[in-house]
Amino acid sequence: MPLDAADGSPPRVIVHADMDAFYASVEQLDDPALRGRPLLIGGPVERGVVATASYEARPYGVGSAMPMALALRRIPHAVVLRPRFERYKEVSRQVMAVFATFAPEVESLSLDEAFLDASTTADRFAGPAALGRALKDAVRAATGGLTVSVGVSATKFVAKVASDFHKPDGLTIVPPGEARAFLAPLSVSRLWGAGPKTAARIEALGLRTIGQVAAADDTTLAPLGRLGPHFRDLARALDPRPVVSHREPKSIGWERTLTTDVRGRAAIEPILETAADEVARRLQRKGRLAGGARVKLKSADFRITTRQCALTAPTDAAPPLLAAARRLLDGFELEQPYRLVGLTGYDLVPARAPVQLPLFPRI
Amino acid sequence: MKFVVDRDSFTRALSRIQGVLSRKAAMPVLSNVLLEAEEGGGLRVAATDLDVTFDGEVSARVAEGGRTTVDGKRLFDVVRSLPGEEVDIEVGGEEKLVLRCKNTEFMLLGSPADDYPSLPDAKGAEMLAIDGEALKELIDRTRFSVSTDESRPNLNGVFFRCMGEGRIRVVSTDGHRLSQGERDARRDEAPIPEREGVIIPRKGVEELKKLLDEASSNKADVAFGFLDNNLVVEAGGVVLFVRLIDAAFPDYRQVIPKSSERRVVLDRMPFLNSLKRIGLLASERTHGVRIELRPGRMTLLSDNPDLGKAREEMPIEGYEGGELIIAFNAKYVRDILSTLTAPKVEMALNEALSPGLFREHQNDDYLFVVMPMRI
Repeated sequence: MPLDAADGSPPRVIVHADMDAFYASVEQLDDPALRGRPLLIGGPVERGVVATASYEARPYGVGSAMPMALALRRIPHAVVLRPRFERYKEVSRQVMAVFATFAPEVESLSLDEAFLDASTTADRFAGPAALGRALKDAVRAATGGLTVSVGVSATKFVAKVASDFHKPDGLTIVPPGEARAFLAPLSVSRLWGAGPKTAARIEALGLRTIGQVAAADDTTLAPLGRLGPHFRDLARALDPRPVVSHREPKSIGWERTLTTDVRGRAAIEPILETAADEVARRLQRKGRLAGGARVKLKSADFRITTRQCALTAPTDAAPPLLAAARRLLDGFELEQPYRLVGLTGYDLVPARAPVQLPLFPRI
Repeated sequence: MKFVVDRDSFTRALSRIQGVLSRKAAMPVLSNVLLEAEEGGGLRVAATDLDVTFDGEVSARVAEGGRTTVDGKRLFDVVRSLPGEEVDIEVGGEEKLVLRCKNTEFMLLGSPADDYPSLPDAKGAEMLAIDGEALKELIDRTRFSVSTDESRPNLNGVFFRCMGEGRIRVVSTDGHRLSQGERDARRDEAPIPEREGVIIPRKGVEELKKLLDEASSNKADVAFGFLDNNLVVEAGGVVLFVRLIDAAFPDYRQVIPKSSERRVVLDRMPFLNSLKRIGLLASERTHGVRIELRPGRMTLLSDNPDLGKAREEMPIEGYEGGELIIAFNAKYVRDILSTLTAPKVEMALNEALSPGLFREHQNDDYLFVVMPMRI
């Protein structure tokens, strides 16, 4: 198929590649005894959530973000493993390296998911289906057996929906001329950027399918504000956003859900100390200075509060981050129990940017 | 309480205290102004936020003494909008303040003066006459570099020190730059003895500036003194109390360069305008502008990866020092050049990472230190 763009601009070949049950598949790859068994990767049983469920676990209605305790009530015989991020990062690097051989522009969305702009490389293959098959084979070979689901179309949104269409190990090609028809019967919850709340707002307008959103007039969409036309464009398979190789991080942070809730300054400060060290280390590794610091606390009843402030000078050092974090604690109600503590450096500037030196060596 | 007061002078007194009114919910009475009338005396108009206090008197014809408090912003808005020249004010039961002016009548709900915090009494302070114009200039030329970083309370104000022989020194720094002024501030030879330095908080400095501006235009005498932990300034029948910052000012003398290897005399306005132009392409965050010195020539440069580049050459006659490349936050240098008035300024530099010194040419009353940026 030639993936001609509907609006007359040069045709694009956008690939969305999404590893199947990535964390679980890596574990099953590394330990053959786990293959064919329901496997849950995630936090501790008492308080954690499921990060990834293997395909064997999914028929039980278990999926990502579900509390681990609930998942285990549904499949008591499941194997539970704590995630090994270092290993997943290692495999992710192999996978991303494969993607990079297929397209000059690879935009990774997470460890296991990326967009590829193959517009300039698609000619090497006998059509997009051949491209997709070659990509899947290359990933399988490079990793020793992992599968990836692939969607190919002319826009990011349609490619993303397509990759999810025949999961796992799927390959779905949507020529641009068929993109609207492909999207039309799908639920509005599939619209990119529409979370459960937004989807409910769209449905409240009487729009249940993407096709209905595509056909909706301005008056119908008015309650959605600026999002209305945006979603209608997506629904009409209009999505000019380019594949961007690497996104500059807007902030660098660290947070932890604690095994037991903490209460009071004396209990929270040591966690912020770790956080400041960690954020400083990440800033230094990325060559960035943070111009502001933000503390985030999540209460035992899951309410999130944040406080932020500008720093005296942009920094990648732990002490000023920690000092700011300590001051920010004054703005929180510290006597209630918290389950999560986080610290983020924002307003990042490259470390090579000019830095204002202090007049006083130490005050 | 019952009195008649001139609308314009009452408006001025209420205008003066607007900056002191506090909207902190913890003590709602602090958004009120205290009014106190004494038979045979005038009308006292006072307000405090517990850190800064204004206490002044307006002449009034008092028929019946008394005291009350009422929302200071509301009263100001009402009084200045009144049509006539004189306002007739009466406070009845339940702190109801009734204002009558020509055919207009307002009733404002007040609250008892007994709920208002007690105010410092200037009687306990030994007041010294001071040259108000000199003090005003010292404040005007240094207040711009006070730190706004609340994590550094000892930098959140101007350092004020009586040096002896009637000299007053005022210093401010935000940790990146420093301004220092020192002048003989004696008025009519009245002595000002030496005294340890104090830190006047930013808010107090702003109110002091207003009071000194007012005294300057009214040619009013200015006196100052200390009371407990307050600076007391009196001008034109108004007393300002400012609670001082209880912290140690950093040792500013150590960061003032003692000598310099490279000294350039520049025309102030062309230098300022050039910095403004070249600064247009400086990073909006750092305002970094590069200065390159060579014998006879200075170049200003900005380079912004997102926007582009700018460059300007200025002849510097008589400069025979060595070459130097240094970068400054252009805003810091502009702040100095805008606060000065002399036609020529002096820039004295050492190394790329050493502080630069700026001052008016042939005027040692003021000096300004700016730490460079690392590029």
